[in-house]
Amino acid sequence: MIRAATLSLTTLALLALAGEAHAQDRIFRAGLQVGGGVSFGQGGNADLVVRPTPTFLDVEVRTWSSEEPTLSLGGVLRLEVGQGRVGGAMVPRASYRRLIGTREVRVFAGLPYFFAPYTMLGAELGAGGRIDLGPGFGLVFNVMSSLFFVGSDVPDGGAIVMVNATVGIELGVRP
Amino acid sequence: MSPLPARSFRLLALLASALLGGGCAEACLRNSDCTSMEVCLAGLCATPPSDGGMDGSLDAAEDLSGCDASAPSDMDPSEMGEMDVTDVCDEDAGMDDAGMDDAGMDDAGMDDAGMSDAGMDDASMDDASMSDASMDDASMDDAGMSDAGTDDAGATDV
Repeated sequence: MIRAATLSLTTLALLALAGEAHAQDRIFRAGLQVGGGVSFGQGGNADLVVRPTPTFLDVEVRTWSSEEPTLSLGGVLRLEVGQGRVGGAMVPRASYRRLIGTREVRVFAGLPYFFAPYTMLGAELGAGGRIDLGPGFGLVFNVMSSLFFVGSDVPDGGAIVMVNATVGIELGVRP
Repeated sequence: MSPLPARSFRLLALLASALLGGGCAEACLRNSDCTSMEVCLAGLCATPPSDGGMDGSLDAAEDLSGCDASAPSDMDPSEMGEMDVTDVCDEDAGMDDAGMDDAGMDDAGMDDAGMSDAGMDDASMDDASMSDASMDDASMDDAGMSDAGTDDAGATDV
């Protein structure tokens, strides 16, 4: 009986160590950011229409392997909450990241897709960084430009350009 | 002096006004900037053109309700939908229920002249057929009566 219990505990410990080793191979980060900016579009008589981008909240998750730390993959769940509206979007995103000391800089590309209540699909390019504020805790910021060209929220024959910025916090997540 | 600084200043002013919310209140970029009944057209919220098959006949259809009292009461609703509403309202005075039913014509060929002609033709056809029928009946009756009389006479003879 005692031998069986010892064997079970040993097995669990080995599994835990294996899981720990596996977790060290892949790093996860999750963050919450708030953003805003300006949006551009073409109005009548080729005039430029400029409006503030509705304030939005980004919940971002990204991950990378310790063997390939320069490439991170992730996604953003975006909630537009400004200007009396509520909209939902998701943004699959890939980043190229570099570490400069304890700071991180990155450039990224994504495909923002608004799915509710209107639809809007586009592409985005951006750059950002992260400043460590403590173990597994950092300040993140991004500047991005998005182009939306299709969807029920895009006027017929038009396109929308957004230049937005976000700032927030990010935590290290160990699965 | 190059116009570039002026244009840059104007762009910065636009950005500042947009960020501070001082932009043109009517301008829109996205359809969701407008009310649910409007879409964004050329930077302005506007009611979209209706494309539900009512190409300008909506007013005429509304006028139809005012013509219901004088419309034929036994007209099939499907025929009502196929007919030109304006023609019904304009030419209703010259149409009667009997003429519509007897003529059996579609609305494309229906006009006052055609209605009159159809009625005239029907009348003459009826008159002719009735005359013929009466004549045939008369001759048949006469012949039958003659035959019957002959048969009866023959039977009586036998």
